[in-house]
Amino acid sequence: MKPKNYIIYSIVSLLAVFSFLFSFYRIAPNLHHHFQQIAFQTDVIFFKKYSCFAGGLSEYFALFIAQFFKSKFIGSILISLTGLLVSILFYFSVKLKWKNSSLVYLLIPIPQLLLLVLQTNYKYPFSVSINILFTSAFLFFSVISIKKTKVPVWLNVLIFGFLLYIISGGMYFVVFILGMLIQTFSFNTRNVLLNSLPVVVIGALIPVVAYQFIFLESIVDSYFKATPNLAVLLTYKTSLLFYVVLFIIPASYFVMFLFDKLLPFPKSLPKQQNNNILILAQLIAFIAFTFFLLKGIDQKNEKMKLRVDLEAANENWDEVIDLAANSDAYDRTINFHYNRAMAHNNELLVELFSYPQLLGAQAQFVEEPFAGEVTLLASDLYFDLGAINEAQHYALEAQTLLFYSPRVLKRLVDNCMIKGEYKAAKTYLNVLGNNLREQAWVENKRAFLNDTVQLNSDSIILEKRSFISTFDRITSSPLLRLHDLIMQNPSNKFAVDYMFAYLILNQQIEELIPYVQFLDDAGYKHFPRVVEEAFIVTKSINPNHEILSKVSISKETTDRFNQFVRIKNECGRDKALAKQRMAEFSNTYWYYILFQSPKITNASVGKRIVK
Amino acid sequence: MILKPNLLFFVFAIVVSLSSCNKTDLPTEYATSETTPQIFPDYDGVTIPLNIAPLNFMIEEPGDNYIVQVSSTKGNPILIESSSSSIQINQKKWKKLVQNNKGETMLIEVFVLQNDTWSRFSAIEQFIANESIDSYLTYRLINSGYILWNEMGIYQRDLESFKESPIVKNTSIDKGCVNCHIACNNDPEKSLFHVRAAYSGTLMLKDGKLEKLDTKTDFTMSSAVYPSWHPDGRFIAFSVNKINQQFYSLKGKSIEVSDKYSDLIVYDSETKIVTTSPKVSTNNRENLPEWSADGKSIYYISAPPASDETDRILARYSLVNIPYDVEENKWGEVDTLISAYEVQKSITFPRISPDGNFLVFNMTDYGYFTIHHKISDLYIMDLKTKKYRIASELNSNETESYHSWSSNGRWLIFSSRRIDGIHTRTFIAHIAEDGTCGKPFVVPQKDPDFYRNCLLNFNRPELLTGKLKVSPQTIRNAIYKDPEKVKFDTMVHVNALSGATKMGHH
Repeated sequence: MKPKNYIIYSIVSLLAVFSFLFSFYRIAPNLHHHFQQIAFQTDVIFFKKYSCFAGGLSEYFALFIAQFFKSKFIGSILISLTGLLVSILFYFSVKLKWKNSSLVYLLIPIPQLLLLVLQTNYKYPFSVSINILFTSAFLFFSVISIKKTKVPVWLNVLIFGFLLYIISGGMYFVVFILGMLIQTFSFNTRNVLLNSLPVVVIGALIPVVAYQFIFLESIVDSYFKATPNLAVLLTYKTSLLFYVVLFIIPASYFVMFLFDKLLPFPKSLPKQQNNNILILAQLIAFIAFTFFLLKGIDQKNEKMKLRVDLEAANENWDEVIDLAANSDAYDRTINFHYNRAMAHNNELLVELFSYPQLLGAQAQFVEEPFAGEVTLLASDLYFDLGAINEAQHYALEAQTLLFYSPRVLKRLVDNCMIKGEYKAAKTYLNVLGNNLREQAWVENKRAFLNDTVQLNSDSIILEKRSFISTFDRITSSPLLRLHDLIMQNPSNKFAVDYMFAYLILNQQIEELIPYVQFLDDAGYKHFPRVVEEAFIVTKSINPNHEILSKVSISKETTDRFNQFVRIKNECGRDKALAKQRMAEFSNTYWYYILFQSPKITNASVGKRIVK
Repeated sequence: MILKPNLLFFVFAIVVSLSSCNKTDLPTEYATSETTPQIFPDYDGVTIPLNIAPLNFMIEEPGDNYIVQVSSTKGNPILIESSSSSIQINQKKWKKLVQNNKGETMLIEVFVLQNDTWSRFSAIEQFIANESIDSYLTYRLINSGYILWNEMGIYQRDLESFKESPIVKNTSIDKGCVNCHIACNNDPEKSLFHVRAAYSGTLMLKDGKLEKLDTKTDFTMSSAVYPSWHPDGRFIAFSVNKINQQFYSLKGKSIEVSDKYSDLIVYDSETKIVTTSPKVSTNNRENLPEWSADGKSIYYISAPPASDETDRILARYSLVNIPYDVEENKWGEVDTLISAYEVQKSITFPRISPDGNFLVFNMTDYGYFTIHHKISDLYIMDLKTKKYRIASELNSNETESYHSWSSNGRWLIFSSRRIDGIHTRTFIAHIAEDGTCGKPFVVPQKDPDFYRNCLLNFNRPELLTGKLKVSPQTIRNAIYKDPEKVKFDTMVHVNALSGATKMGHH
């Protein structure tokens, strides 16, 4: 093996291993899959959807690949492989110009590294990587074609450019045109204008012709669309780094062109010693570059939120609770799932405050302020509660934004089955059946749907059906919905727990009293700890309370409350000291009303315009 | 090169054998079933227009092979053999057969092979009408979300084939909402639709010119909403509305769309002036205008004022009519045709046949936005006698809602959710001269299983006599322009207006 090849293979191999490990442990492609609800359908309607706009074909292809991100292992391989291909094409593109130069060895990992960093953003659409790969390939083969054949430059650019425009869309076409334009500069002086002018004309014309006669995009998108046109909740905000990756090949062409004109030295370095120095210098620069690049990634909280969301979607409630306990920063979504998990584990009214309820009931019901991000969460919660109409309403809102999302379609199927809307369930199943990865689930449900005896005797379906409200009225608030759910079926423990938690979080203890009678129906033998904590506060303020004065509170809660009051009195008005000394009470209602309640902190979820 | 003649022979042999394979014969031995086969969509016993595309269907009977013969009195039958239950009929042969058999019955015989035995079902009958339907259908394709929207568009579909093309797609206009498309006398060259959110305005095509209008004035509570073209094409009646949405927990109900206020206005497309009258801008909620066929009066619905949320939602709308002379800008007196109080129901979406003989409307328990009301049904009124009846031939257990007429008045298209209870599809029904309604059928699709795989809703179907020739790119570019503001009629005594219309300095 030649020494140069040895170096290249070593770099590529190391890069491959690093990329895989980084993808697997840091990126976690299954979280991408989960967050973006990636779905690929095999039917004609789905293909048509992606064939009617510039760049649609690559989005279609990217979705095909990205559907395998559901497996963390396969996803990591695919991400690594795509980046590696881009890197290798980048290397060979540079090599076309700078043969035998040792300066380019460590250029190989740069595109891959940059792509990996981009991929740490869970809104990053994989189609960008695919488009960069296509653009690199088109540029590479176009340059080869110009060098090795007699096809005129303009024809080359027209054919490759038009194809790339259709496949990848405006921005990638612009990158291609820029790359080709810089290539034409390196031709001899007489041909520069002759070659570059048609490239500019083609570059300007193709998007405008597509805008006027072929596609229905805006003129800006015709030239500069770089990311898919998704719903707001999935819209990826492009960064400087994004554009660096996008333009890395034309930029490197330009740098080489400048070197050619100004410093022609790197073209060949005959002495091995100089080569080694250069490689070492690159290595140092590369390590420093990698260090700063990776150091800048800030995805920890977002990743934790998604992990919790994924575990909640899979109903791994213990895992949700563990992750919430280990999360560093407060997050509304984590709080929301923590509450659900606790309710599923029958511990909501005991451990409600073991996670800081900084947003109060705003993290219990998340549909206000309404935005795309909360649709699935709201649907999940209302499904838990047995409010199937609401679960359906929010699932339909979610489906509007995440049209083929398997998670949404599954929720719609389940809702329809519970509501007895079997024909609609079949429609959703048919659509989900076009997703190859969901075949088993679909077949299972189809069999279930065809067996009406089994369907109508299924305990979960029967239970959910018994929860559906028969009150014919508009339900405009969570409180009203919870009230109706409890009145509909007092044994709906989830609803009873949520009603208590809702009123406790809102510090509406008086309003809670009429619902005490339902604790028995919900299976409580005595007051849960959090309820006792709320009652003892009210009792302490109003010892002659008509009802609460007769309520007996456990000795344990009474002792703890007395201890809490003693510390509070000792600290006087020194709130910081009180907070410090009361740390052991952080999982109590008392701590909540003193330090965490939005009524104290004025914490509120930011309003966002609904689109 | 030596192999070339052999190769040619081989290709020839394949072509011959393939063409012989294509020749289908009816089975000679079979068991006979007394029942008609189950098919989807239900096209059994329907009356079809002379120019409709083939009514492709799925045979819902288990089998290994299927043969279908489509025949009528004149012309050669069409034979289809298929190993799948999806039956797609050749368009050219279908067209020829249907057009040669005007007024006749078409028979569809289905043979199913199962366990090496053919079964022949009783023939499905379809009645070929003497009349064609307007060749294009327009609709908005939307998701099922109530509050949010993402991608949507207004499309036109050639009913004589299966070609569908966009008129406008919101992906090019920052995902703005496009809605309420309508044409004058079903003429594609005189049509309009609204754009909301991004690039908002009303886009109007008239005499080959595209205009974008801002229909909100200081004296009207909103931009123009629900439209109706005057038959002469110059005037358009609109409602102006303050619309709300609320949700139910009750199974079988989902959402209620209701108005806090609403009034009527009339827009003159030549002077670009909006006018109204104290008679149609009262405290009551006047809504959904519809011109009479002679253009001398406006039918609309009216509900009492809403004092609270319950009133707003549970209001019942009466069907009323007001004479209006467009030339003189003179309003007559309001006449109630159906009193909601008397029938204890709510009337909505009045649509008048082009010959002025019939008025089709929806009736529901309350409100006017019936697409989410399962109980909403279609009714037909004979305008000569003012008698009306429920159009039982058209209704189902699921929602029937928005409807419109063909330009010859022999076809009614309407929205229904009867296929799966959730998604809105367009149905076509023949309406005879005496008002008798034929059995409706869903607009045929190339893939007969299409409706069981489509999660989009066909919203607000309207017929067009031909294709809208303005390209979607031209329409998109017109949407980008700034709208021209319409003016409010200075002759209207604004202070006389009561109720919902917002007062301003005049």
